[in-house]
Amino acid sequence: MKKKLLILLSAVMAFSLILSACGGGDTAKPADPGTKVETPAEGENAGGTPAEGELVTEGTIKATDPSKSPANATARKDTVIVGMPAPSGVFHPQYAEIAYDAYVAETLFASILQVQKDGTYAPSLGNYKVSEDKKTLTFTLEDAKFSDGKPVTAEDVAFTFTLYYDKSYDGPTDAYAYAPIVGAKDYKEGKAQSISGIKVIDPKTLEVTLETPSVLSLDVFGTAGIIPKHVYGAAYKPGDLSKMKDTFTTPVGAGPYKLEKWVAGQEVVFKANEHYFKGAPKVPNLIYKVTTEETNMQLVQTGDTDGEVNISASLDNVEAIKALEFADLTLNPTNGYGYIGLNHKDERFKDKKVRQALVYGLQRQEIVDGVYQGLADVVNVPQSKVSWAYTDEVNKYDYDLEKAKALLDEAGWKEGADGIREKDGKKFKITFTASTPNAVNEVLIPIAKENYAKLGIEFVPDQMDFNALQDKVKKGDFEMVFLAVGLTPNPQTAQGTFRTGGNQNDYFFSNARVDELFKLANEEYDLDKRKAYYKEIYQIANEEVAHIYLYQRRDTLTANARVKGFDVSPYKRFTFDTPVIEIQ
Amino acid sequence: MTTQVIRRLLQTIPTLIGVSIVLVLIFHLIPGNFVDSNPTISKERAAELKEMYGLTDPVHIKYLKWVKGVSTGDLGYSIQHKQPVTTIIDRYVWNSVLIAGVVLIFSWTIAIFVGVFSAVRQHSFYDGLITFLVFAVMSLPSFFIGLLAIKFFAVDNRIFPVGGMITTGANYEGWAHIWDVIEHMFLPVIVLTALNVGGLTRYFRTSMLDVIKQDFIRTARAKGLKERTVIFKHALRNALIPAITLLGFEIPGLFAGAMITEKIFNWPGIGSIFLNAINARDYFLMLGYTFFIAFLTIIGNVIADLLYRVADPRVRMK
Repeated sequence: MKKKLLILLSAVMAFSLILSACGGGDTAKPADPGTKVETPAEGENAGGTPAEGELVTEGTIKATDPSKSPANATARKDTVIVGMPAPSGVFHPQYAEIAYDAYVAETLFASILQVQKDGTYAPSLGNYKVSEDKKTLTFTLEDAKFSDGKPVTAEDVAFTFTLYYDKSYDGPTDAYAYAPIVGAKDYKEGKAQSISGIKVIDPKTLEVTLETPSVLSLDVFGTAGIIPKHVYGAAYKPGDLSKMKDTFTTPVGAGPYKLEKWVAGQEVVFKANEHYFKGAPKVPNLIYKVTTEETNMQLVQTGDTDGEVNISASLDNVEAIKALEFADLTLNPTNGYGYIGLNHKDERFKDKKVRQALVYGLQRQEIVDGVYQGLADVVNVPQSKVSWAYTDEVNKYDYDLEKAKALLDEAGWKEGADGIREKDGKKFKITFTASTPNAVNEVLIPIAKENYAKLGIEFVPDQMDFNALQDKVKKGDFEMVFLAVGLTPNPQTAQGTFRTGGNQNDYFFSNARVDELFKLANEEYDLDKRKAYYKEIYQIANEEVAHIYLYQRRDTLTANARVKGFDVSPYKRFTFDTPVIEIQ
Repeated sequence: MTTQVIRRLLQTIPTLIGVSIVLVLIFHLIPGNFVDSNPTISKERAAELKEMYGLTDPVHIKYLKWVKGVSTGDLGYSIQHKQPVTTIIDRYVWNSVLIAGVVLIFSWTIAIFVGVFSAVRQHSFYDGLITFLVFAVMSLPSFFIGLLAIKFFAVDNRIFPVGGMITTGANYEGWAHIWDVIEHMFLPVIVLTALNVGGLTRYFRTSMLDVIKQDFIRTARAKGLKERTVIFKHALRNALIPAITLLGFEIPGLFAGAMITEKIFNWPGIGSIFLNAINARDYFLMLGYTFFIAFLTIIGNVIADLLYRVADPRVRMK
């Protein structure tokens, strides 16, 4: 009996763990309903002192009294400690998947291009040129050395690129989809000893030939942390990368710092790389300390850390950081947005007028303010406002009940006897698939219910665990769903969501012009030309209501004012500032 | 005795097989997987990765592959950490064991003494006070007293560190390092002990009350033994026998990690790693670790059984 009970118990325990432990898609903190909602300040507030009572929602809020810095922090003359959630020990630029492993990899490894504040790429370890037919990329390298003193050569770059196309590579990069190199398929299938499309011209020059032009290839090649062949070569056998996994905790790169030690779940300790090609970093010791959301602010307060990347941008937290007086707080729009996805296969949502009515009839500003108390903007395009490709020359869809009603009338949805609209004998009832617990849904559902009732639409929420929701969406088994999505510096990645049959297009959105524009944009390297393509894409995505775009919230970077030189954006993370920061 | 042990161990095999089947089934059925959560890869690449990780196999093949690995001590490959599951467990579990072990010692010692005293003075003011305190502490959520303790002892008064296991940037060696770890253990140990001690106290109190009402205790007193000898030598020994079973169940608890407390005190234990694995649907880490705990539970049960027989001659050895 006891044994049976035990099996049952362990099964129940395991199951309840699964049920209780699932997080939502959006990690927003629930809003405090008692807090007064203030109007967001307009425009840039960088560095300026805001007027009394005005809420600064963007830019840097400077420390008011740096001398209040805790004594133990001020005593660290040659060390900067930055707090972040735990990296998992995958310190390899080709394998790092979670953000915190990527932070460590970015600190240890240098890449040919480096992302700028607006999401464009600038030369770093080298530069690139595109051939006339846009199929060949020529990379040239700066004079640079790895942290062991050996030079960075085109051989190392070729070695790095080759890894992505290996049969046994299981890192997060889908190199072939982004950068289809000539000969990569043969190499993967074991038909060739090397990739014919990668040619080392001389120790400083490398040529890569693609099957088709792809601007996305820059995301693979440009941002790949270059690994030295003389160190990692021994761990690589074509078709067998299992030994590579033993190198994760002993990384050697050409980045600003080298790894001193990693204590799992506690800290990553770096020493300045004296060979760094842009000059040795000014801070000799850098430590990434593992923090959790529960106490990351307290650690800044007690001086255990000099900075923190993961304090969630709620009004309470912003006020608490300001009250420290010695910390600079940078508020940036998060690199992503929240939206309501519509299933375009649904008969009702096939009608553009219905989709537009659903936007006009929804009080998006109220929802966003209710959740984020001013620390988020309503968005109308699927792009971050800091991106070089952003446009605001689109319809703003301000709340307009009458317009929404008129659009539904035009679409043939007439109000029935019970106040619910119907067409061809069918009632307008929307099932809204929502994850729980989720702070946004808590506010969105009651408002949407009321808003849509006014339009004569019955809005029925169906709440579930996030992974269950994701599963439903992947299977196309939904009508309307709330989700949030992350953005990358290259606007081209949005093709996954908006192109017909795209890997993330679970909404069956399809527009011939959008498909064409994405194809054109991917074959173009000129920023101005690409910008025009993306602008048109965003305008169509706005006009056609591919999604109901909701909000872009904020991220924070908190830094003790004794550390100067952080200049971050949603694209350019603090890791890129590590070579230039200084202790005052 | 040896045959006893062998027989008892052999009996665990069907249980383990049962547990493994249930676990693989449960984890097979839960929605979502690690690969699909990466938005930047194409459908072809996702299929390729799932194939590589063995996520596409039908459930019986999955099971057979996994069991084959487990029989050679290989619990699978953590997709998230890109390392064998055993490496990941080994990397983090000892930090959890350290905390749980110290908490176990403290909470048992305190619970035994408090339990005995409140049993001896049943219905006294002292007993009432203890009962009140025990229930008050037990009913507080751990994250609440954890955060409260941090606020009072680490932020407002800087007596203890806020969290973590070592002082970042200090690079202590030898005894300084050990003392540093002890200092970081104070708060989590106090909080976890306070939470654990409540239930245990009630347990020992009840068990002690049962014993001191028995005839042999009256006999002992009648013999003219000192009260202290009666309570600690005659009564407590007998009252502790049922506790052996309880101790057996504590064995998996040592390795399970305290998820909430680890997060609050930033303790680098296995609890938070497991929680992340569930959220990220790191299939084999979830499976491997749950199985590891199930295995320890069964083993703990066997050990308790055997110890029980040693401690109490009345339990017949068949």
